Amino acid sequence: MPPGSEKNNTASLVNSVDRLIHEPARFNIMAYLFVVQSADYTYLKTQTGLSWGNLNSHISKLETADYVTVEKEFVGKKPHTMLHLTDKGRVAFSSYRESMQNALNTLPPK
Amino acid sequence: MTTNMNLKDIEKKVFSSYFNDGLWDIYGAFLILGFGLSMVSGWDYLMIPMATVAVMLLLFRPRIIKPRLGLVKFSIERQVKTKKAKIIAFIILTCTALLGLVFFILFSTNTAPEWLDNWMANYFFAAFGGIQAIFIAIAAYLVGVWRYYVYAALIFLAYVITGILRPYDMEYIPILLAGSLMLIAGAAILTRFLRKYPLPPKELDSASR
Repeated sequence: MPPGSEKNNTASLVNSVDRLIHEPARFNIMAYLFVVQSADYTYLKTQTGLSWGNLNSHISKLETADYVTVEKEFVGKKPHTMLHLTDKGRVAFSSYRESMQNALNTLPPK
Repeated sequence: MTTNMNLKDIEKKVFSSYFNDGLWDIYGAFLILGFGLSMVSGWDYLMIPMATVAVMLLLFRPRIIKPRLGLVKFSIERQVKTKKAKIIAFIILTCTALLGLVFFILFSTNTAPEWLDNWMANYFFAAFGGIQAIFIAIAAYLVGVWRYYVYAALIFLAYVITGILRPYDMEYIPILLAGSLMLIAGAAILTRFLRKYPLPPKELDSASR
């Protein structure tokens, strides 16, 4: 392999990752939704540490991309807004993790 | 952000956080203190109000926890694991209750064999503490809160020392100490929990987004 081509390979792999998920706040949101079936806004705010405004903004973007669904469910007799990853969102998140891992694996060891 | 993040660890951490509010500690403390106080006072029925307060705390717990931590439906795997754990706990509880009933019948009808009588005289507290410690250790394993292992060891030790101190009429001291330590720890953890997770504003709905 010609010198420098490993770096180019890494760079091209990183450049090809899903930028929607690549943003740290959205990555965190997707990670915390990935490990559960569904959750509400309070759960995400608690786990990610984002402000309500920030959380809302990022979830809107993920919802537009059809990675996250926001639904009203009844828990007992009270309606509750619950979020969950769509199938597309789960696949996208798994692919993102794989892409980043592949990119990191191309780097030489210390 | 790292792709090295272990999603299993995240899920475990999230699940454990729903048991790390201090209320379970306070619940256990009330039960232990109830037993200790009934030993000091000689009023066995003192256990009842203490146990009632403990149960009320647990019933009230979702009102404190859910608005602060949020509502979550854990994965199917976690739900299956939790269900299995509940079944195991129920079986152990039933077996312990049946054993207790057998002992009660044997001793109340004076039909217990002599070896059992001697064994109970010497090892009752250790056995009682051991059973409680096993329950707490199982709970610690299932919910992933390491502090509960410490409580299990503390309670077992307290009951063993109780057995030793019995001839000196000081048997209630270790149990009251153990209960007090749990209560202080539980109160501190609950205080930290309430500060860390304040009540959120009115639930966001689609109109407010």
